[in-house]
Amino acid sequence: MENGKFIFAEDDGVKHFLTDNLLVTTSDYSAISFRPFQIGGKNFFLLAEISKAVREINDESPMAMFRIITFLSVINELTQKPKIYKFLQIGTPSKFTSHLAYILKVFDVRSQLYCLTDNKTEEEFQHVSFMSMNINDLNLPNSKFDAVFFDNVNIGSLENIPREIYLSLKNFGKIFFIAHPNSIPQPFVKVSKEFKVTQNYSLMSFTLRANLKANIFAQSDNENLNRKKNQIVRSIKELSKIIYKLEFMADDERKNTLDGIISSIAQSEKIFNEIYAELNSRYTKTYFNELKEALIDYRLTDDENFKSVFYDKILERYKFVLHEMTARDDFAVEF
Amino acid sequence: MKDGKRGAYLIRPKGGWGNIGLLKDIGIIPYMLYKNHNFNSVLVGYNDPIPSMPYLQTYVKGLKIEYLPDDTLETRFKYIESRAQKIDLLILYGAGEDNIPIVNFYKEVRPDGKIYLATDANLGWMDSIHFQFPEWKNFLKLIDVVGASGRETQRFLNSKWPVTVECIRNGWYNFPKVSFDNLFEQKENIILTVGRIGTDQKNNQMLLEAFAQCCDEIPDWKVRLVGGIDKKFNDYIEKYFEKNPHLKNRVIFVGQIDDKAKLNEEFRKAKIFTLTSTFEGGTPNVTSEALFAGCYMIVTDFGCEEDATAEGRCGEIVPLNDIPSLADTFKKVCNDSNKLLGGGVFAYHYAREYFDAEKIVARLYYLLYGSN
Repeated sequence: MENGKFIFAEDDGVKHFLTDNLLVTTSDYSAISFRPFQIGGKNFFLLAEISKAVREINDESPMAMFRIITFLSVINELTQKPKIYKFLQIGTPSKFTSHLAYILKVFDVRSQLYCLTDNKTEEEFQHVSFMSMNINDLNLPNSKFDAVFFDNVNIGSLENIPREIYLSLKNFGKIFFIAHPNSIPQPFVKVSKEFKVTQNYSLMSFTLRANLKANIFAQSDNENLNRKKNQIVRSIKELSKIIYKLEFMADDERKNTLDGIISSIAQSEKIFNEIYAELNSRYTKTYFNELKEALIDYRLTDDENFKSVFYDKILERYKFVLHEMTARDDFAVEF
Repeated sequence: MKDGKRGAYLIRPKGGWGNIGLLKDIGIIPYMLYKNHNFNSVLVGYNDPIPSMPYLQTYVKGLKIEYLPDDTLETRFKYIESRAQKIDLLILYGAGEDNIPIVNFYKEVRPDGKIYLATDANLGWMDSIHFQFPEWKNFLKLIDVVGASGRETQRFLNSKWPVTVECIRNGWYNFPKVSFDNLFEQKENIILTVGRIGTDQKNNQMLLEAFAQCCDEIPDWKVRLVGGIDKKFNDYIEKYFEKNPHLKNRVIFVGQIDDKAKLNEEFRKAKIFTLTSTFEGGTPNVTSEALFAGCYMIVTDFGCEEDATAEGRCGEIVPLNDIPSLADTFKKVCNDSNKLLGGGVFAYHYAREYFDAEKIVARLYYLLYGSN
C-alpha cells in the first residue's frame, strides 16, 4: 500500500497502482490514468497475472510501453464486457502476445488469440493459434474478430492494410496500433481514440463503426480501384510485347504462350468485374472479352486458313481494347 | 471423375426433354463433350409419359437421358446429392429463378464442380432480371462460364451484369453427314424459312404479305415454309390463298421434316433464308444451318440479327413488321445474282468459322478447363 493505494506492480522506478476503480501507473515520465478499471469478481490471481505480465512486457523500450498500455486497455474491455473474444495479432509475437492469449483464456476458455506473422520464432507461445498466411493474400473469415492488433508493424500507408482485415472485424470491432503514432497512417490517427499516457505514449485504437467503416472503405476503394486499373493496364502492356511475336513462334511454344496470355487476360477480366461499377466505359470489358475469345480461337485451331483469320481478329480486338482504354477517363492516367 | 471420364449433367429445373431438342444446343453441347472431350454426358429431367427419342440411337448415340420419378425440386436435390461425385460439370439452360436453388445446392455438395449456364434468352427478358439483388449476384458468381448465344446479347449482358458473359453461339453439326460439294450449283430461286410455322413468335405472315407485294417483280422465285403448322394459322393461310390464288404454286407449305438429311437439302437448295421472328433466344439453330448451307440471310431485327448476317456481310436486316421494307429487300436481293452468290459464299465460310458446333464446344471446354 502506498498512500492508500494498492501497488500491484513495481519495476525499477515504475509503480502501478490500483485504486477502487482506477488503475494508475507512474513511471519516470508522468502519471498514467485509464478509464475506470474494474476487476469485479476476479481475484488476486488475476491481479497477480496482470502484474506479472506488465513486468515481463515492460523492457523499458518505447514499444514495451505501447504494449502495456494496449494490454491494460484490453483487460479493461474484458472486465467490462465479459464474453467470448477472438483477437488477431499481426506482427511478430512477443511477451505481450503470450500474456494476452493467457489472460483471454482466464476470462473465458473459449476465447482465442490468433497470430499472423511471417517471422517464425522458436519460442513456444502457449494458447496462441498461429495462422500461416501471406498478408498480401489473406483468406480470413468475415466478421470473426473483436479486435486486431498491429504489433510493431510499419503499415506505412493506408493501402497496405488489406481490405480483408476490415472484413474480418466484427461490427464495433477494434483495431489497435502498437506503434509510434508517426508510423500510423494519418487517416487512422485522425479517427483513433487516443488515450494520452505520457508526452510520448498514447494508445491508438479505433472502433470500426458503420460510418467509419464506410469512410475507410471509400478511401481504400479509391486506392484499390487505382491499383486494379494498374494491374489491367500492366496486363495489356505485357500482351503488346508478345502479341506480335506469336506468328513467328513454333507451334508448341505458341500454344504455351497463348495459354499464359489467356490465363492472364481471364485474371484481368475478373479484376474488371470487381471494379466494373466504377468505370465509365461500357465497352472495354466487352472488347477485352472478345480479345480473349479471339486468342482462344487462335489457340485451338489447327486449320492454317483460320489461323490467319483469328490472328487478324486478335490484332483488331487488341487495337479496340487499346483505343477504348486510352480514350476513356477510366484508364488514361494509368497509361 | 470416373474411369478417367468427367461427367457433364444437364439438369432441367422443371420438365424434361423432347427428341427434336437433342439436335439443338441442349443436345449438341453435351454430345460434343461426350464425343470430343471424354465426358459421360447425361440429360436429366422429368417426362410423363416418357417420349420416344429416336435421335438417341441415330444422331447422338452415347448421350444418356435419366428420367426423374417426379417433377419436384426435392427430387432434383436428391438426384444431385446421390450423383455429386459424378457431376463434374453442371449445365443449366436459362437464367431463370428455378435454377438458383439447383446451383446453390450443387455447389454445397460439389464445391469444386464446374457450372456452365447458357442464358438462352432474348434481350427483353434478360433486361427484366434484377441482377443487383443479392441472390442473383451470388448465383452469377457461382457460375464458371455464363454464355449468351449471340454477340448482341453478350454485349448487352456484359455491359449490365457484374460477371463476364461469353459468346457461345448455337452451332450446327453435320449429323446427317451431308455433302456440300457443288453447293452453289444446286441452288434454286427459293426463299426458305424453317420453324414452327404460324406461331406469334415466328411471325410468318410478314414473309407471306411481303412476298405477295413483290411477287410480280421476282416471278421465278418461290417461298418454301418448312415446319409443323400451328392450327390457328390455317385460317390465315386459307384467306391468303383466297386473296392471292396465283401464289398457290409459289408459296409452298412443306410441313415438318424429321429426316435431317432431307431438311438440310431444303437449306442447300435455297438461295435465301429468311426469318421474320419477333424475337429469338439468341441465334436460332436454323440460322446456323442456313449459314452452313451458304444461304443469303434476310432477317428482322429479332435480337441477334448482327450475328445472323455477319453484320450485313451475308445478309440484310429489316425492321420488324415493316412489310414494304421486306418486299423491297426481296426485290433488290433476288434480282442481284452477284450479291446472292457473294453473300452466300461469305455465309458458307463464316459459318465454318463461327457456327461449327465442334469449335464452339472446344472453346467452351477451354473456358472451363483450360488446356487440361
